[in-house]
Amino acid sequence: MRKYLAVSRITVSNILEYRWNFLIGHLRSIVLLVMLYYLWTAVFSKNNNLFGYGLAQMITYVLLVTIIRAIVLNSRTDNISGEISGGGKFFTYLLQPIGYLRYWFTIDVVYKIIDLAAAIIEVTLLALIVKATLFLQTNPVSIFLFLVSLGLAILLYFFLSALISYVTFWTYQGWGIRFAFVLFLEFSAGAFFPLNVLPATFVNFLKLTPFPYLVFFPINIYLGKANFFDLVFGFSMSALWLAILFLTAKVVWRRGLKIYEAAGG
Amino acid sequence: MVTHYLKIWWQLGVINFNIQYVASRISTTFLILGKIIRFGFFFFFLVALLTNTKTLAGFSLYQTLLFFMTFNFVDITIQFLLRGIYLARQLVREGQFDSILVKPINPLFRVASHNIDFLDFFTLVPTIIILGIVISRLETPTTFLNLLIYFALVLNGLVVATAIHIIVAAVAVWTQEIEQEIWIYRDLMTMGRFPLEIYSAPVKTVITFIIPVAVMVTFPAKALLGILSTQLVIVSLTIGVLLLAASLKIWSLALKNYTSVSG
Repeated sequence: MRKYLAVSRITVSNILEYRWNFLIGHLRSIVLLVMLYYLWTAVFSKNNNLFGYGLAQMITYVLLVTIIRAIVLNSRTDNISGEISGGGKFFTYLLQPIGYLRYWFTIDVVYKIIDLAAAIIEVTLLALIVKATLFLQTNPVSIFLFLVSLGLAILLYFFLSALISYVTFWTYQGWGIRFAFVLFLEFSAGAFFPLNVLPATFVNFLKLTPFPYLVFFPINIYLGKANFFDLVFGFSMSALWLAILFLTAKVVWRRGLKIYEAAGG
Repeated sequence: MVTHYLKIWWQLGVINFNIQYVASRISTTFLILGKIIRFGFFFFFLVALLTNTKTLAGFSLYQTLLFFMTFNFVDITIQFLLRGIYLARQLVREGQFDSILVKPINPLFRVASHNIDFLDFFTLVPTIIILGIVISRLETPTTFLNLLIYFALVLNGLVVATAIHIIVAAVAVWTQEIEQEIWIYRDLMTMGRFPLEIYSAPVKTVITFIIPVAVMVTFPAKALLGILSTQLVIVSLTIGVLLLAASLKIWSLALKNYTSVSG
């Protein structure tokens, strides 16, 4: 445990060292937030209800996406690709008494905590400046289930992201795959707009993948839009995908290590 | 002179093609796929949205798509022509900029052409085709004069975007900084995906006069729809000319103040 606390301390130091990049990164997320806020406000100026959402629910959706981006769609496991493909740094981890994925998960937790704090400030400021009408969930069961779904989403994204990086064991050209994957993931997770906007057949297909359970499902729970069937199906799919991804990550890691050649090491 | 530069541009493109595609074709294929995914999802989102709402800030489906497609055209063209600018800081830091300066070639051209990607055609060509389809299906009649002003303002938009990129390159050469900052411009640029009318007055001011996204994307589309005043056409063209002149001056100053940082 102490060694992971040391990793945490180093990660905090790294973030503080590159604080300008940290600020710029958050400034970028504000631009997306502002764009989506005004888009939906304009859309709802002529419509009271659209795709099953009212204005307050849609604006809450947009603001929650910013928070969920900070804690779910936020993983440093993308660095694994670079470590495997170059410099031989990856090899040094194999000699150290540290779990490789545990190491990255520790780093992720630190980033998530700091980014979450920044995201809450961004969202609060925007909500206050534009005097946004928000949907506040008061049902403790819904809030509890929302938090549980977020926990599952964090793990799902962590293993998905790690798996994409493991592709680098077989091809040193992992960045293009990650670019396409992340874009597809973010759209099909509902990180730009609620999936209800898309054709029902396509959404039903997406619900069989792990992606909607990263953003769309947790937010719908918070908004009270998930009925009993949605909850049972959603949590079952999240748990199933988490088991599949966890086991796949283990198998791929073992196979990857077998062909790893420590280039540059 | 022009032929000479075109030859160099082509050669640099071929070299980059060999590096980017032949050496890493899996990554490149997925890169194109990613761009198509991003375009496709936003396109279908707008279609689905406008099919339900009928209008967005008073604009119909095809009018809204005109804004979106004009944004894509300007953005992809600039990426295609000036992607090298994003590597300006790296060129300076790694000392490659020094070798560029001693070559008998315009250094700005050389920096801008450092990362030409022919594969952008895979997204640029469909963009032009879809843009043509959208224009042909506009609900409002398009006059020849409006079309002419549209092309002039799109060209002006490319000039404005070029000027911004030149300033970015100049700052990179001058200060050896600019890493993440350019991405704020890229993000602000994406606000041009939608009509300017959806934003509040302060946001409109920022994306019209500070980072003139509206001049690059929104004004051309509005001109085609016949709803841009003559004054704003003149203001747009003036901003284009002044910004280009200013950017070239800043670039020239950056070169004068450049001190080699690596070797």
